[in-house]
Amino acid sequence: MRVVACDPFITSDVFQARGVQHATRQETFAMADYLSVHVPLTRETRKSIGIQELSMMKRSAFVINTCRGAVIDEKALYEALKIGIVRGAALDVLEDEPPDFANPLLSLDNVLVTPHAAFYSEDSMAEVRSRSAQEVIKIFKGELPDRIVNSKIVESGKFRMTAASVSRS
Amino acid sequence: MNPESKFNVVLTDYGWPDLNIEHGIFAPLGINFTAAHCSDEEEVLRVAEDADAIITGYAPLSGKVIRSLRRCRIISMNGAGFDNVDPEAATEVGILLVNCPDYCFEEVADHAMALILSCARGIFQYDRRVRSKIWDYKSAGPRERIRGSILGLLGFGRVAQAVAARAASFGMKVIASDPFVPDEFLKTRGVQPATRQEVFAAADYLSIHVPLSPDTRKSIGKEELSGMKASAFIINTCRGAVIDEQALYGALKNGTVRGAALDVLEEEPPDFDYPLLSLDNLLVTPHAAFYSEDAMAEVRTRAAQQVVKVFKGELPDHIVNRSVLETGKLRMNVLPAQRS
Repeated sequence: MRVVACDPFITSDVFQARGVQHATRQETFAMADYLSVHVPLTRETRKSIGIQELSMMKRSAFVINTCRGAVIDEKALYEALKIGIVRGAALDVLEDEPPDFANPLLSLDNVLVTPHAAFYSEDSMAEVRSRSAQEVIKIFKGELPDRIVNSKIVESGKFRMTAASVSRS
Repeated sequence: MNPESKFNVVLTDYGWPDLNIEHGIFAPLGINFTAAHCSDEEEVLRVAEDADAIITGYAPLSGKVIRSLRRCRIISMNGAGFDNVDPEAATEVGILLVNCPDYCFEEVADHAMALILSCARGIFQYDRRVRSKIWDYKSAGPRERIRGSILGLLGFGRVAQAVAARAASFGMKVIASDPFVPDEFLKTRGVQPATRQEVFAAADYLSIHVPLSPDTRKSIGKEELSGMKASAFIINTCRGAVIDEQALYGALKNGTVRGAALDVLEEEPPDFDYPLLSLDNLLVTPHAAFYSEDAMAEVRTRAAQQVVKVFKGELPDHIVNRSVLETGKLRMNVLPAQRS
């Protein structure tokens, strides 16, 4: 497949190194036969794929979402699927999970839904459990953990990492 | 007038909505073209007995039918498989049997890979669960990471090679067994050569890519299935009859293997009351792996062009019964019948 992508936080040389054509967001919607969504859910991305975006797409195109349901305006997607603005969708994530099973989106023939299962394998579960426990041990040993989400805490002066543990009787 | 002008071509059966491609090739050359929907031998003979060339898909071209064809010099397959045709009979009477072995190998390899992934990620079972109001990532049973899993290939022809390349990009380890392909060739494709037995024993996903022949018919039965991992999936995109379906049903029902994804069945269309089709650990597609609009246009064009080649005195591209060339009976240079 020929791959085109857009990401405001990734520089062109990374696209080039991966053999991916660096496109604008609009071009990505317009060119894709298969549109796969891989953005974090933020204020900017919430419902960022709506009727306007879907209307830019090919009628023969499919939408695939494995990130967060709320990045898509599901009402707009339902309409688009229903009247043929796009051909189909495959969703691992929905706005509400578990969904209201009366949601008409779920009964469309051109929708494939999996129950937020993309992350799951026995291997990935074992790995995440081992790693999250190991991060705790690292801290107890006075080492910095591998992935700090709020990394500015290290500069805050309030960092509890080196606090001695409370003696328990 | 074109020298081909008196030739008569019959299409015995087809499933597409119009014949623009065929007419577009034959009409400018003045070749007479007739299309039918033959389902039995009598109908084939009725429309094709005097044909100079036959294009066919699934209509029965048995030895009896072929021996009754008076003028036919080429049977051109609208596809790769030719199990509706008796090649020995064609050789015996001097008819070239020609197929199109490579027109849809990308589609079939994609379909096989999609079935493998659907099994690996539980996609078809998850979709069924959600439609029956269950939202639970554990609802399709335990799943393992695809990277590092083993794909076993039975047969290593064009399709299997393309599946191997796809699987490698998912980090699967690929092993294969094919009595007609040297180990060295497998290694050049990054595939580990194995015995048939080893492939059954080692595969997490077993994908079958053998032609249907007397040797391969029902060649995957109870014994072979029992040699597999209980966690393994079977994927079949070649011909249904290579699997003993009764044995497969038993194996799926009692957990000898975990699941199967089949694009082909012993009988097509199947008896829909068939208990195999109602198993939850089975994914079935309706012999669709070959299909894309692109592949269809390509095979129809090429099947018709092979006929034209033969009418022009050229040898076609892919002759199934090559021994016909040595028989001295080849009908290729016979002049067409005079028709008023």
